[in-house]
Amino acid sequence: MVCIKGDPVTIVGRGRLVAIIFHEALPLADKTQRLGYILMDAVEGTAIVTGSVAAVQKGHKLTWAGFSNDHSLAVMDSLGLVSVLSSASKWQWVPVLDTLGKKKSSEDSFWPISIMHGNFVCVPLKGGHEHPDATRRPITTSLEMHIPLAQGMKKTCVHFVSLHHSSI
Amino acid sequence: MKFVSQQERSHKNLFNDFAFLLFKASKPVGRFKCEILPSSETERAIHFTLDKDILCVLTNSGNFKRIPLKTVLPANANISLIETQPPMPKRRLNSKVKAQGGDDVLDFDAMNQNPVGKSKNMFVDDDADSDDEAEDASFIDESATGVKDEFRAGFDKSFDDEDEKSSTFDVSKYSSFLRQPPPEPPQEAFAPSSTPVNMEQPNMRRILCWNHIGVITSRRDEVHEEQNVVDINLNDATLGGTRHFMDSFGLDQGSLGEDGAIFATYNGVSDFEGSKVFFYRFDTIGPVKRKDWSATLPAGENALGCACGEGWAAVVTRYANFMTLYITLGLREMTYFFVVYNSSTLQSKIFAIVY
Repeated sequence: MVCIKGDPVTIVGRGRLVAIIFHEALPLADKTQRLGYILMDAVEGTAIVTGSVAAVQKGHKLTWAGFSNDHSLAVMDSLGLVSVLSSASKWQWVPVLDTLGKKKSSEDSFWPISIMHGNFVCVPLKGGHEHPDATRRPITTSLEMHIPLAQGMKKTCVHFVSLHHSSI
Repeated sequence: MKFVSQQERSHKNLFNDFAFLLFKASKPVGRFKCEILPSSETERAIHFTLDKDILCVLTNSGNFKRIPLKTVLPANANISLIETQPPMPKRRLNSKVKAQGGDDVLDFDAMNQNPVGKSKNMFVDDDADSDDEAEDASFIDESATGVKDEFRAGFDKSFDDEDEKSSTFDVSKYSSFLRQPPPEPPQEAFAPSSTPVNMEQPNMRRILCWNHIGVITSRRDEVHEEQNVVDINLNDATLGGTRHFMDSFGLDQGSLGEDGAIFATYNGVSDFEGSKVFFYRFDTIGPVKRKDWSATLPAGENALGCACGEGWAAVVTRYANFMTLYITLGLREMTYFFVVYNSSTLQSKIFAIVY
């Protein structure tokens, strides 16, 4: 029942929700990908909300999408910023974790898996690897999510409380 | 930073120096004859510009290609200089002298004001930077001519008639095109938390999906090479822990949901059929025919992604200009429920929802 604007980038589902992220327009000259999302109730086949993936930072692209355990749509971009969309935030993208600041070296990265109870579950990668080695079970870690704030406000930083998804 | 001339260089080094020059000048410095992929006759006699480590190539057949340098060099690239275009107008050279004398450099060509890699704080009136820019300018001038001579000496390419002909290639026709950065390609479709196929070792195990339900991995079977072994490791041990099955469809994408796992192939089964979709149900209670099901999409439809959840499974497909989402309720036989599409604009993409 729904038209989408462009080629799909990824699809992800949980419970009775499905989210499709697609190209809304051609990328900008600085390589920023212009993406849109549609969040649907898959059982009824109706769209809940559509909009732009404003969480993709300038010059970066989408690298991950998933649902948290409270059914909020979460995305991560190639810069390493994790953002969450939920009805509690009036369908606005809220940055909840900046993995860039968690890196110990510029070659480190975090390969995302899921978001559980306000924790970002991921595989820490070292040595410039982009993906974990699938032949052995990689060791996961979880990072506590909090809204990235300016330095000096860390003591009073509001920790990310998992956004409750009403009625679903 | 000075350009050090050496007589003996590998192609790669020469190319890197030019890459640096091009990058530094943020516009094409010279014109090159570049033979890339010699097997292809149409991809020759090229204008190229450089965007970081991507070679943007304009072929004589009018195609525009973006090639990462790693794939081009050094094996199948053969580059020779045809002509060096002065990187900046004469006016700039004069103003450089003025700049060294301490005068202002405001009459610089607007394009050369900001070298690539140097971001300018618009809130700061940085007169101090003008000297640096002047140094950059002199650096590009010297090195461009230096490399030109060195190229002519180092590559003993005879400039035959063909080269002479191509050197009269009208630059002004493409100059505005080359000055602009090429359009950025849209990012390709991907499956969240999956690892790509290792092209060097296609038999390596890869992760198809890893989420809160568990992990799906797939690897080529050692005995039956046309088959894959798909392993599903569930986090919830009450659902059965580890399961595995043999896949003869060549399923290359998959996703885990609460009820089971959905898999799909990108390539069509045959010329008359599209991608294969396979649903693996966790429940083992009930009739066998309600356990797993598979379906074949219509011809030309290639699955780009799949997902499933409580009571539904979905596949996003590509069909010409249309994108289709199939949602099943996990029934063995799918029936088309409704198909809606906007026929007024071919650019619009559609969902067809199938129960």
